[in-house]
Amino acid sequence: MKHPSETLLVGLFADPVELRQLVDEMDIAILITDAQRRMLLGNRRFEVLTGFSDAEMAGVPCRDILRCDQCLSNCLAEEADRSRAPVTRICNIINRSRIKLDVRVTSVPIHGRRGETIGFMETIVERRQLDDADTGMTAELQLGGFIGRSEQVNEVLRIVPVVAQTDSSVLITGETGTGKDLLAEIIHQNSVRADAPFIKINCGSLPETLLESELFGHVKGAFTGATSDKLGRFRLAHGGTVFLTEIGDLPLSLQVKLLTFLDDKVVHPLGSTRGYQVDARVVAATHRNLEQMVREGAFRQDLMYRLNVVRLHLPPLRRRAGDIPLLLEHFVKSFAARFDNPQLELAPDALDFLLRYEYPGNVRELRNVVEYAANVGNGGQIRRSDLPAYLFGDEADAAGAAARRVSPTPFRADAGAGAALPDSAPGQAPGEDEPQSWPDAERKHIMDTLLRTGGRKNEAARRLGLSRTTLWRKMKQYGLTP
Amino acid sequence: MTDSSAKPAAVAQPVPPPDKGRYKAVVTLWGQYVASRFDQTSEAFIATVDDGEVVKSCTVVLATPSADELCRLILSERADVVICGGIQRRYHEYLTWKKVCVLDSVMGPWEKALDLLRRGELASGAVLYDGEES
Repeated sequence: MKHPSETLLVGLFADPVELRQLVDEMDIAILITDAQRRMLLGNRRFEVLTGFSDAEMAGVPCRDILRCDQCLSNCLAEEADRSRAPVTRICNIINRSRIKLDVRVTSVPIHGRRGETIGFMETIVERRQLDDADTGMTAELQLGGFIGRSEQVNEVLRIVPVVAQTDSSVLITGETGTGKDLLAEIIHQNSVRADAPFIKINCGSLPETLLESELFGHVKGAFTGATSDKLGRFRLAHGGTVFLTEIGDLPLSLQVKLLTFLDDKVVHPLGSTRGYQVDARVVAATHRNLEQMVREGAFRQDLMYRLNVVRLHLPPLRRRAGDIPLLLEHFVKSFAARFDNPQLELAPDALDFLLRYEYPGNVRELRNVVEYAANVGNGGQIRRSDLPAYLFGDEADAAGAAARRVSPTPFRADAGAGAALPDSAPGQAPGEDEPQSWPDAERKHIMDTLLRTGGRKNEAARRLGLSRTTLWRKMKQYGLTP
Repeated sequence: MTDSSAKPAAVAQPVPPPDKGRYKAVVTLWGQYVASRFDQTSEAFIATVDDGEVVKSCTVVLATPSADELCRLILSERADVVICGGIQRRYHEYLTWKKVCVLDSVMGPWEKALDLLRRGELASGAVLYDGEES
């Protein structure tokens, strides 16, 4: 039997057409099986969705590749076969990266000339990532999901819809924790490419040699260990968006290759003499000063100009202090829903302090502070004493010199939007000293609680307001395990 | 949004049997195959392996398929290795943290998987189907 990549569709068009080429261009995940439900073909979107390559899935029962929650107990294809009609269900799958995804699967039986079932075709549409469902990510990806009313944020949000509709490269700059990743996803979700893959690549996360293969792919035999062809992230993102985060960490040798791609939109996999046309938009982000890196010779000037077609700068939270009340309200509501505690609110003393704090870690830090306090706080109200200890360094209180007048009314999770918002106030200048880090504070708090409970993890988890699993995970993270 | 789903799997290396010579393995079952989903597993094979030979074994049937129950069973049995299909990250991390070696995305007959494990040749992502066998 021919490999699916060589299978030709004959008789439909004037010339035979490669089936693989036809299905790969579809912006929906498709799998085709034989009558025994063994994989014959999965298109490129299916590979992206499941994480399994064409070579890995060939001939394997589809239950082992799709890994849908109904595969073992109530197979869609079986029902489609019985009813001789398409069957659609909402299911969840677990992909190769161990992520659970909510999908809509449609199974269609394929019948031969004598009416017997000779195979199945299934389409899979991703609905959302279940693991993130409780964080409200879906709603945040709408344009309004970027929270802020300050002039700087409004300026960014005003041009995002226009930017989203173009195909220009975008460079997002801003300090860590300001929401660069969220903005990149918002741009993608509001573009015509929204239904195609959004592939995120952290340029600083892999060594140079691996990164090149990861980005551009390789062919079998290109180097020791390259036992099969690999598409690479750019080709996987065909039709969608490639998000290059930490672009400032991209090695110089790969900057040349990226520049070449941006110029001609052709990917040359490692070891291949053939180039592949890829239609992918590039959005890049960095917290570094690229202009300075260019001056120092660490970043190519031509690449910076190429990425810098549209530049969006996200200001640090201290420069848009008027957004802090909105963000506090949003996260209090968000964690109230997540922890099933609708009475969750910020007490006036905690609110007063949080409105004056500088947040060197920006929105990420603010979110973590609220999450910590929501976990640690006893009951519905978050008091000042429930806030992480590291916030109360000398600098934090000194920052209060420029404190703003705030409403003493607490934020309540069940209050209407903006119901208890105090007036916003001008921002503050950043402090010089870095306070103790959040992980240090959390680690210390967990350790103290474990000591007080004599090492009884169940009791410690209860006191910390964490589930046992979360406590174990955090203990592992902080090296507190035996 | 498919960024997280697009992550490539690390190249899996065969995992040798635990150093202690005698170890316990749990295989999630679906008939004669490794169950394709950890959380949908209702049956598990528990084997004690000593010097590469299965010296004791039993099959446990769960009341209802549940990842939490399965984790509990694995830990209460003090298993050293788990062979399974797709597993959610949180359970993988939890079991790994509890010092259980998790060989996931294993596809094919479970007896073959156990056999490879005994020889130290089983790796995550192993495809063990032979031709028509499925």
